[in-house]
Amino acid sequence: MHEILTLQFGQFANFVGTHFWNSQEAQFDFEDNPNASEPELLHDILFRVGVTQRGIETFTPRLLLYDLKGGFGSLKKMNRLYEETSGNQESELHNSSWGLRSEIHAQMPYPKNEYIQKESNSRMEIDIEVKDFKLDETVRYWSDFNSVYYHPKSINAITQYQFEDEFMPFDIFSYGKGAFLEHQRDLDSFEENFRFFAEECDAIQGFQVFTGIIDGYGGFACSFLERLREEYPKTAIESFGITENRSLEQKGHKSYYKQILNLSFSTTQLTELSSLLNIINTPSTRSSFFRPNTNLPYHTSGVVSAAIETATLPFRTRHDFISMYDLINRLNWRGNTKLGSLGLALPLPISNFGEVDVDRLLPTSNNNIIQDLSMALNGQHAVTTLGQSVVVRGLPDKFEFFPGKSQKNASQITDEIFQRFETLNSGSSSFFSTSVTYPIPNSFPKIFNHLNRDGYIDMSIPSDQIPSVHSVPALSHLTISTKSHDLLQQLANTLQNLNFNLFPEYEGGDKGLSREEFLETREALWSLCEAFKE
Amino acid sequence: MSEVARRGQALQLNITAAVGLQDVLKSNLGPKGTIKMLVDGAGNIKITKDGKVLLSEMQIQNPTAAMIARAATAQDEITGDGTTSIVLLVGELMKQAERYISEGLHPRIITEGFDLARKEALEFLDKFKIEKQIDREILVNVARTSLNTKVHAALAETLTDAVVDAVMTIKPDGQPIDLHMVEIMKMQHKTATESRLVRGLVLDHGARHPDMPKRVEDAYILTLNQREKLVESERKFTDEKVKKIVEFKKQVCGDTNKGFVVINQKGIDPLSLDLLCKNGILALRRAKRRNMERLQLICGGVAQNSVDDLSPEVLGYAGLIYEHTLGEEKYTFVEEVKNPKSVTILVKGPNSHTIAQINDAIRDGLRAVKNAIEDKCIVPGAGAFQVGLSAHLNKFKSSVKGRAKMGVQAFADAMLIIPKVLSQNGGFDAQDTIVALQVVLVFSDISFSYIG
Repeated sequence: MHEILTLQFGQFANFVGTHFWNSQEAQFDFEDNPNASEPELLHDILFRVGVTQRGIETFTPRLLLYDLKGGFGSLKKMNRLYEETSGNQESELHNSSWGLRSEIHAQMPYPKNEYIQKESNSRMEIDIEVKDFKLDETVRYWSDFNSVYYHPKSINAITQYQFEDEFMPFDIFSYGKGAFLEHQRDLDSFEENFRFFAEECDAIQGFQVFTGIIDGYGGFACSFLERLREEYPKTAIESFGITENRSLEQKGHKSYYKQILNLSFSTTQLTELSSLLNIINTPSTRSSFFRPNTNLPYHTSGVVSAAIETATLPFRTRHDFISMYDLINRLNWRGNTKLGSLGLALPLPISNFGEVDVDRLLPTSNNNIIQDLSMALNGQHAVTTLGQSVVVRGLPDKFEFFPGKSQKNASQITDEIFQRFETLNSGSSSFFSTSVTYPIPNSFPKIFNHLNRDGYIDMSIPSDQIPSVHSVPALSHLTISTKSHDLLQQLANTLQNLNFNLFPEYEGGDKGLSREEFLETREALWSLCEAFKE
Repeated sequence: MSEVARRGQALQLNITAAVGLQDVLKSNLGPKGTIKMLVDGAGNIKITKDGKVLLSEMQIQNPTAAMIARAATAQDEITGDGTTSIVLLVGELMKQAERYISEGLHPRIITEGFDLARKEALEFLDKFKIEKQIDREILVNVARTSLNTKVHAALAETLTDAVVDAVMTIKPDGQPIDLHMVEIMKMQHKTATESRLVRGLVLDHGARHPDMPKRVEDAYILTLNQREKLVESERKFTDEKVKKIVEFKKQVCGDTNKGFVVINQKGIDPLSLDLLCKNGILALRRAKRRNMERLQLICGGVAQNSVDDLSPEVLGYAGLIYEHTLGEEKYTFVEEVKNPKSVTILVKGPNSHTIAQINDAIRDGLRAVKNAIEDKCIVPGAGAFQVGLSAHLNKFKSSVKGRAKMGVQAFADAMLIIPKVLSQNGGFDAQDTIVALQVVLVFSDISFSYIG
């Protein structure tokens, strides 16, 4: 088996992760049908089979997620599968206090929205895939739309910092490094928890990392990966440094420069530590079929998750499997271009009859329909693509017959699409297509328009009607291109004119950064810049 | 005028925060302190008497309180205990200071007095401490005192010997003690009093091949740091390495009944496991990094970065290796070793809360024993030092010039919070106890005094 371990660092990364795991669960086949064909998706790559102390069999993600104290909402470390007792606090305290004097200090329980209540109480007589849970209004934490059971060792709190604490915000790269150090000293979650998931793997193909990069999480992730690299010096690591567009500060504020510093440190160190770092910004535009509320993390994280899920599909399929290691080597054939960007067409706009405007799929076309999820600036330069991986998913073997035209099939269309992407003259290209569609569970935001149940375009559905979509075809475009040059240059330029002495926060603590490290980072940015020149 | 008022208000807020934190932690202190159960917004439960654990679990919103919490946890990092005491002392220093400030004394004068008192306190501590030949009996008393403040008496008794023996076993001659050489292994199983010291190592994983032996006796142990194959093209290369290990096993074991165990820090893929298994080798993969060091201290031998040129000298030895399975958790015991320089304390308990409490208690106990050995001295407990110090500072006060006297006085009074709270938690009247103690102190020259 080619297991993938997932690491999630930070509140928004966990939003993305939650959608990711929900979408995996939505693709499980619970029917125990011996005649069914073997599933195309290999779920064992991302999930593990286990058994609890009470003998319950489990299937949980190979995952370690980190968030700040107070950032977990109503999610318990010991979920229903792993609970040890009835949950009665008095009796639990009585059993564990040896008859000594004891007292209970309880916080107000975090309110559970209807979706979570339903998830944790299967006796409720409603269909979870149909009911409108009004998640747009009730999602505050990522756990508010989570439908997956996690292993208790997956859930890790960074206890030195509190979620949304204005007095001591987790907003500095070196805070993250210090927090990891302290976390290791107190709990050693690397050896205790990470190793638990790693040891049982027979042949890990790689690690996928979702992390924040403009705050303290970047530092935390870097420290974690440093430790990981001591045990796995060459295994593939694909990192996704994810930023919410709405949390980016306006130029000029002090907090803006902090974000730039954090992003600079994270970018240089994560490219060093990872096989590939994709810097991702949440979408800020909408299309006629796809209208996320760009201010809702619940929406934007869903889009990012769909992009990651699609781009990483080749690592998890029975047919045409490509390992993470091989795909990244193909993309980064130059060896020193470890910075990627990701684009997504959700849906891949195609009708029941297989009609699709392939020209508009190319990122070079005017009014293209691919959401650019990179943090690239509006580049004035022509972009040279050094490596690309295109994934097309969810096309039926045969489309519906349209009178007077020849009936289209999937391979025809994918060939046509891939030919179009060939015109980008990329140094290397990987094309992958699969019939596995992108599932839309009820926990996914209602952001589609004019789509039928299977995600194909149907303009007869009025735009004021929210269609009930169960899955959509999608296309992801992962590239290594000269587009990264502009972002790197902007970072380097900003650092060039920055007086590091005005940011003493970075130098304090056990893992403070010295002025030398600041200068080294600036140099590293300039040399990364060089690598992305034509 | 409003500026002054605002400053006064800020000061008041800080004092309130400090006293508030003190109030929360007060009932923990000492063997008669209460156990606290914390329930967070998600319903996660934490049961503890340990100040450090409480502080890291609590949601502290006030900046001053957060600062005090940081100071207290720093104390714990350095000494391994004393978190609750620090919070009580800080709260009390603030409270005592408040009295004088409300009478118009400038805070700066108070801090000046605090500083003088602090210096004097350190000198007094040097005189007060009892330098002794630290033998096992003293260590047992130290460990018992520490453990009794965290878990119930019968359990503390069980753990006391384990903790003392653990430190005595790993103690190198004339070098600092490295407590990392005591592995603490948790097992959710049976009752807490079955926790014990294992003179050997317990690993939290087992063989990943169904046919590998579950029990090996009289065995050589080969510790390796060998990376697994990364891509399919390395297959042949990996097989070669495994064959070398198999050859080596045949060479050292020959026709004897001796066992052979491989413990690798990196991974081992299924085909390699299969090959090892067919040759009667028990193999464990992904051992914790720190266990590689411990294994050498326990079994002897030298960890190998290469399988070329293996020689019998690099092998370790253990009389018994066996696997124990609980649900999805597997444990491997490496026991019956000669003269180990590293040990394992096996923590058992019926649920995760109990295990966590025992774990925290052992951690503190180990630190206390280590400190006693390394400092070569002890200080009488139960507030004796604080009563003595308070009395001493009252005398010292007369040598201090000016109004800083009052800072010294406040400091002296604040020290009494420790015996006060101890006696309160023990069900005594705080004032009666303090008075009684002070009387004892005046009429005797000894610095020993016990409460209740």
